[in-house]
Amino acid sequence: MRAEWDRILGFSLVGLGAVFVVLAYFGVSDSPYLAEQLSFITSGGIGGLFLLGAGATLLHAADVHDEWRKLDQIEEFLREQAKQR
Amino acid sequence: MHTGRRLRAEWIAGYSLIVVAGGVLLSTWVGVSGSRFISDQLSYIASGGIGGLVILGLGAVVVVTAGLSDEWRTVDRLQDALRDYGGFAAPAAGEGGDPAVLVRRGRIVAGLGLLLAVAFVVPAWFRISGEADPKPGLEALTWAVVGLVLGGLIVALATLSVQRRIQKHKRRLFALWAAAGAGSSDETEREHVDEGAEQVLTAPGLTRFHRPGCPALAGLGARSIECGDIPAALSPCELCGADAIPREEKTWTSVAG
Repeated sequence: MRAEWDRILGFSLVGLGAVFVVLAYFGVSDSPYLAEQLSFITSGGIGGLFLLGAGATLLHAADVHDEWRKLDQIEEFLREQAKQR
Repeated sequence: MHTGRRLRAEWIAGYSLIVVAGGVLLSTWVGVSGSRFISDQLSYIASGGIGGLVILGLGAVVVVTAGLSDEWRTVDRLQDALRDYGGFAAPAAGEGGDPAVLVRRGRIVAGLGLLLAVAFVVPAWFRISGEADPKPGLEALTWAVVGLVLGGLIVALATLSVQRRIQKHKRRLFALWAAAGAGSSDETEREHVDEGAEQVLTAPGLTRFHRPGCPALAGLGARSIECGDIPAALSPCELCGADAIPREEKTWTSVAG
């Protein structure tokens, strides 16, 4: 669980970002005032994009961490084998 | 600076930029929701909104490329380990290119992409901030978004290019091992081979025996041994699946009566 914090946070941010974008859409479509619509676009639209971007970055970082762990295990195994030879 | 410390600094810088982008976007939202004038709101969106997303892109590039750079170094270490394991004819560590140079190049291209986005955003902001009529402001904002999308595409392509280079490097490194693994992965085929296997290989100074074709023996001058004559001191290589080869048990019957 501790090793997966970036993946959990990444998925949470992506989910939250999607919710923000959907809420922004409903806010904009329900309001007849341009000033209010722009406020929704800023908070939900751009804010949602920010959350999606930050979440995607964390998910990518989590994948890279997984690869490190696998490669480290292979390296450890090979070093053990080399010692036993 | 020590590589580990430099990487840590890059991670902290990248995540800090992402947090700064979040702060800029929050202040933009406060500005937009507190203003009644559309021209002011558009100005906030062009500067803080799009600008915040550009800062987010910069932070993401730093975090992702720092991770890729470290992965490349890990693969280089693994290459050394493969050489230590069996004189395996793997390319020398660093032969695929210098990770620092590769990452720097990727970052320069990504930085140019972000500069392109800024080049669209700044004129748009100037146009919006000096205009009371929202129509040209909205048009200028559209161009800022176009710049952001173009810059984002360049950043994504630059990052993917670095990632592809690393994947290629890994494929080259593991190609021989993958071939050996594929040869022994099919259980039926493996059993068939085991039934018919009469010989295994070893090399002077080794404490393991291997299947024919095991890449761990590459360049070691291997000699073959009959399965029935494998010395008890030799243990099977687990990488090529030699542990599946049955070793003949020699039983002795007393004839002394």
